[in-house]
Amino acid sequence: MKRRLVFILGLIVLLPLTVLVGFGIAVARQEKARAQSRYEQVLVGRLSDINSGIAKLVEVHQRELLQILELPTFEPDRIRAQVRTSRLARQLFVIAPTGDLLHPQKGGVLTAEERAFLERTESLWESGESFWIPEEIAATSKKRAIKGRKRVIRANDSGWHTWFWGEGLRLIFWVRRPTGHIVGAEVERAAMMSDVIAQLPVADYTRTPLPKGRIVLVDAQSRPLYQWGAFQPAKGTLPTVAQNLPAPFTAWSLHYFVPANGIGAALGRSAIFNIVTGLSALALSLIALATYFYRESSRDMHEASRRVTFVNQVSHELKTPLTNIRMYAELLEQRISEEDKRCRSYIDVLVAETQRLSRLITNVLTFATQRRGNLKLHPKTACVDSVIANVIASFDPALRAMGIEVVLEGKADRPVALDVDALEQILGNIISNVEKYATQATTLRLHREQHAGTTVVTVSDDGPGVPAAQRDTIFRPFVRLSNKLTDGVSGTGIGLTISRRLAMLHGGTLSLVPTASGATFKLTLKTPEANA
Amino acid sequence: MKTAATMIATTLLTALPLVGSAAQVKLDVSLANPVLIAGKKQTTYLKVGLTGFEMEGKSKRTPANIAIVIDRSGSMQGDKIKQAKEAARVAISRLNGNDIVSVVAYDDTVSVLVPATKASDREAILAGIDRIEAGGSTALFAGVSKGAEEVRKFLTRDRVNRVILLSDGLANVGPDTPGALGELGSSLVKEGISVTTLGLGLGFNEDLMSLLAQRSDGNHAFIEHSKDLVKIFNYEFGDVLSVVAQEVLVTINCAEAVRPVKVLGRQADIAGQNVVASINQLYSNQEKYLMLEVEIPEGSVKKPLDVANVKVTYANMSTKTTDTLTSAVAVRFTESEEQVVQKRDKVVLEAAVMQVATERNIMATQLRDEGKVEEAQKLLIFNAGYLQQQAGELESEQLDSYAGDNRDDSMNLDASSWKARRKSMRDVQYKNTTQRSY
Repeated sequence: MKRRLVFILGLIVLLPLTVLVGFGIAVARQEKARAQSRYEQVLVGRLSDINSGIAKLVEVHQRELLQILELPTFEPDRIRAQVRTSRLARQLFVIAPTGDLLHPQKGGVLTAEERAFLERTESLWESGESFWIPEEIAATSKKRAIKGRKRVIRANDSGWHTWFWGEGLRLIFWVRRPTGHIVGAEVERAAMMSDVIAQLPVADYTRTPLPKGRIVLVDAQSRPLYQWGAFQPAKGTLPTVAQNLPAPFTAWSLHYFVPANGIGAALGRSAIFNIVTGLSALALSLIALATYFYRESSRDMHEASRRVTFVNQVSHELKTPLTNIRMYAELLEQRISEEDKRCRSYIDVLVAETQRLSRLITNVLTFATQRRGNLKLHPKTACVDSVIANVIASFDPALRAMGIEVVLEGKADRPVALDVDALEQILGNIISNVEKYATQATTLRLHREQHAGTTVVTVSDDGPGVPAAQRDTIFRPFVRLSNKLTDGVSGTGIGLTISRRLAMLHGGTLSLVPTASGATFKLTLKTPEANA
Repeated sequence: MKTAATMIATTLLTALPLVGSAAQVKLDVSLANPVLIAGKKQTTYLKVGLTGFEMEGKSKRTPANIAIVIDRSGSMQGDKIKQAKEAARVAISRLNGNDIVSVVAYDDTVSVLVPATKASDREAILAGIDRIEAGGSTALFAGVSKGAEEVRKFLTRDRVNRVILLSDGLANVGPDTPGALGELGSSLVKEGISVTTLGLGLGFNEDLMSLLAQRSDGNHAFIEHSKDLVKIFNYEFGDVLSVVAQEVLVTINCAEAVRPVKVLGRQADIAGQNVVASINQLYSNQEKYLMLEVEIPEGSVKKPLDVANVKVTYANMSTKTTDTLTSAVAVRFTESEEQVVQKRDKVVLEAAVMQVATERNIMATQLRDEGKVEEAQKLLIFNAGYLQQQAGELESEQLDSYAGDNRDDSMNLDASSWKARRKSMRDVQYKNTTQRSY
């Protein structure tokens, strides 16, 4: 009983707590994900800042290149002089409006560098595609040819072009002259790269509110070109965030690495703290509540058991005077003459009532013993029939007074191992119920059978019987049939419970046999034969 | 031009000399054979020599703007980094308040330990040098980029702008090929920044380091033992502090019938009859030269032939002006072989032989790189013989000594000594082609 209470109370505490912890974890996880995305946004923001710096540098480069490309003439020597002094230009070229290369001219008088340039750029001239004509214009000019409609689209005045040769990406910046000439520069890639690197922060760059991290500028093959920041990411780790560089460096990107615990540090620790605190508070209050209930209920149980003990003690105390009363009443009966009928009937009542009281007390004591789990039988050699005779004799005066005739059928006269007190108590309880509730009955029939170590006693009356719905419930403790019949009749509601319990202890059963009328109880007991 | 029976060198001053004729670069244009056999197409060498003048007084030197870029990768640990720091300290002590200096250190990341500052701010500079500790990889490209950025902060034409790179390792973070570093050098020299590369120990990539220096017209040197670091650093600073002319542009305009074949040792653009080459810096009392191989057409005894006009422009560090020098050279013809030999210019020939032998030495290096050890050895032995013979004819100690070098080279091609030998060969090749002073 107590263990069950503890279990239930534990469940009451644990169940909601588990649910809430689960919920809390989910919330914390969500919060962490949100914090991480917030954090990543900050990192992306930093990369964007760096990128906008690079974009500005590209603008500066563009302006510088535009200046370089402002050639007053296309004289080869003038162009060469320009190349010699322009750090961003490795080589310059001029394309005539017709699309032919004016400088460096194939087959012309060229320097070794110019010949090397032609070799590097061969794929550009051989492909037949003119990179200085935007694709949409090339497309529309085709369309125009088909539709015959004239559409004017302004061509770009300048632009970047990339191609691959040798060690990697190469860059061209070109300008369209009003004359239709395209003047371009092969950009000194190393110079641009060097400028980008020169602009980026140095290793011990500390002007950042973020935890230590590492930003790496990588090329198209993810090889690092430049890096800074105090954090050293393990090989093979993926960047926390990444961003591509602005044109014309789109093949390169910035990778931002931060230590894994860096994110946790940045995450609102307060959020997790709040959740944990809330859950702990809830757990504490639940435990307090459970403890309170536990103490209350164990006080109740204590109280109840004190009461039971009290009843027990009282019953015990009643037993001795009752026995005395009964003994003296029987002595008195012997002294009174046969003629004094009135006196004799008084004494009969006295005896019957003491017997009833005695049964009641026995029931209460048995019930209490059973509750404590101490109920035990004490079988000894006896004859069932003689026990039945004794019981009927004790009820005889009352039954006679009610006009109920006792009919005995069959026999059970073999000496068997039997707890006489238990059988007396069972039969007494059944017959006492007849006495109480079947007042209109005329016959009480007792049928006895005995074979192979089993004794079956069937007790039937022709009274009002038990409603079918309540056939089982009458065996439960403190259940009393409540109807017109039983109203006003006193009872404890434990008689049948005790009886069935005793029958079961005796290796048998007690059940109510369904019949057309009246009530029939069938008692089966395991009664091994004494002499066997 | 004036007709010339022998070689004539005229010097024209287009800018007004402020400190007298002493403050002028000496231009010397001469042919290895001013007299050639008539009636025969033949080649000879044209040398354009430029010698820096002497600055007046110690204090009147050109102010320097130097970035010292030190490799602090793991391999520099121990004596190397200690010596490097000491070398930097000693070098800086030679600078004064007019000079700008910065200190950059790199491993896989780059730190600017001393941003460009006046050299008189000694305490901060020395504190920055003290902070150098070795450990990590080698982001050489980035280190040079950051060094150049520091130089750029005070980049003026009247300063000697230089990045001095000290590394003992291969570039392994960022661009790592000689080509990429060479491109960086080409672009830096156009801004007027030279990169001197000092390779320490046996671990560095000498091709990458020498190409970076060559393209930017700085110095390159191989320092096998870290104890020599202080000495070499001092030499380098000696060069830097004696610059008298910068942005030297040499234009050789060959006469119509004369064909410029190639320039030995140096980078030059040859387009038709024109040869253009630039030399970033000239040092006081040191000669740098351009050696052009020319093909002379058949000539007659009666008529001398104009070979080329030479024009040199440069920024004069003393007068703060851009000066122009011009000169011309002609050849005479004779029937007598004896006269040809008698009239030959031994000094020019010595330099030409030196360049030819250096080219052969470079070729031998390449053969050895391709695994053709025997061929490389043969070539080196042949080269030594050639040098020996020329040394005798021209009575040249320099050629004799280089013959010895080549013989030594030929004996050190096996795997165990090649790594070190290759570095010293590159070092000498560099010294010969650029006329490095140390």
